[in-house]
Amino acid sequence: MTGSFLDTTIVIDLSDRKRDSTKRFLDANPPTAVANYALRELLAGYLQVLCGLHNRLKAASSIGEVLVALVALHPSVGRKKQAALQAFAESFQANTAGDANRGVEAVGRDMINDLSLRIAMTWARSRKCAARVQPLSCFSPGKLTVGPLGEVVPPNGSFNCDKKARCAAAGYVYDKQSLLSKMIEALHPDALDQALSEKREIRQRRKALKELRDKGPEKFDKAKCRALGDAYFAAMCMPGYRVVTTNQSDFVPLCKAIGCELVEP
Amino acid sequence: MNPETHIVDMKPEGQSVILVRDVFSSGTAETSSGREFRELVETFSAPTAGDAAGLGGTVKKQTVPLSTLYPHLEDESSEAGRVRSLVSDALAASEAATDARDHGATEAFSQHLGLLALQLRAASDSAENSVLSSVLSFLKRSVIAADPSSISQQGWNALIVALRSLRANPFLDLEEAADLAAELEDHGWRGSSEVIEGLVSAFLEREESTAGAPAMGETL
Repeated sequence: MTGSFLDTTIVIDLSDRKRDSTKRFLDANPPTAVANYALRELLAGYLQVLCGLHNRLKAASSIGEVLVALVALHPSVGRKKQAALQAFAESFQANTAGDANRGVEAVGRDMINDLSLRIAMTWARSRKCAARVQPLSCFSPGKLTVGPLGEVVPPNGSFNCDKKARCAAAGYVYDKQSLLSKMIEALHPDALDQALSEKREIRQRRKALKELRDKGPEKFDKAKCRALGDAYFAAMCMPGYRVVTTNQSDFVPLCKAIGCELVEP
Repeated sequence: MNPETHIVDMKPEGQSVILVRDVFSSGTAETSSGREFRELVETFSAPTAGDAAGLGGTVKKQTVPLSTLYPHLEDESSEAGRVRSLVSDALAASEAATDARDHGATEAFSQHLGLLALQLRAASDSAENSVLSSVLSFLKRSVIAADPSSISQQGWNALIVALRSLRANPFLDLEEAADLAAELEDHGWRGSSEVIEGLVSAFLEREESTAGAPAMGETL
């Protein structure tokens, strides 16, 4: 029996119920485990963006300001901004056109409330999607709450780790010295195909791993914690488990180098 | 002590105690604070020490009226009171629907579902509490989207328990609301908002393509 060690993409998949096939796969491949690092990634990335959107929409006092909020989304949303705008506009139109008695304000309020519930459901499900392993001393996946202005407030008031604490994820990976060196070698541009070697994310990962190897976890720049990304899951996959991801391509060189099993449902 | 009963508080006068009974132990959708709230008003007079020794006392139930603890919930001129009244109406509609369902009256069941959806909408529109409003809205969409012929017995029970829980405790927090909605989804209800799913999907694709990239506020 081979257990399933979930990466962040799978946690999102499970939490958002996007594909039944993922759940079926995990049911057939127990036990399942999720690292606290995956929750940390989810909160600092995906959920932070959604909460930011929610709070912007909450602050908007007219449909015009809502559109401005969407247009002004963080640049990392990039090419998907148009899709977001389109989805919003079409549904907003459908909602308001379907009920002449309800004002734009009421429809907008419902949508904002729905978004906060949706965010909370994703977070609640992600925290329960599998047995949680590898606690992080710098991060506690607590509850989302509603603040006095109606904003969604992250656990302990921050989407990121405790600024005063050492990066615990880096500490875990640093303990795997032999794997650390192999992963750095595996991500060298000469060892990758052209597509991977040109990916900014891969370059950042190698840079972060090198810094960790050279400086150690005490002096490792905490801002690079999330750059460890796939390397964390590959290095920290437990004996008897395999890494489960929806984004296999980035993992392949790492897993090949350190002998970690990998599967995409 | 009965394994489903334990004492959480003891009043000094008359040896009365508050007993906690986990009557919703079947895993249905009741929030923890909803349970605590319900349990709080299920107050019992326990036997005195002498009674407990077998000298003839009996356990007597005493219920504290909600209006004593939260008077505004009973006042329909207040927002909280109006919402609670509408949730009560929704619960009554769900009970009528249950009767129709039990008698195999499909058309009547479907009609009661429509009424239930309308009452949920009225409650959602009236609720100024954003968390409560969002859950009621989720319930409304769930009922609207449901195929009456394919609602399972478990799913139907989960919906009724959720309504009861909201009636007992309108003060649920965001996490409790999320748990309640997630449990309903687990029982087959589909209450997600299409517009929100559209927005989230756009971000989902973005996240999958950039997992591991720095978050906002983080720099490399």
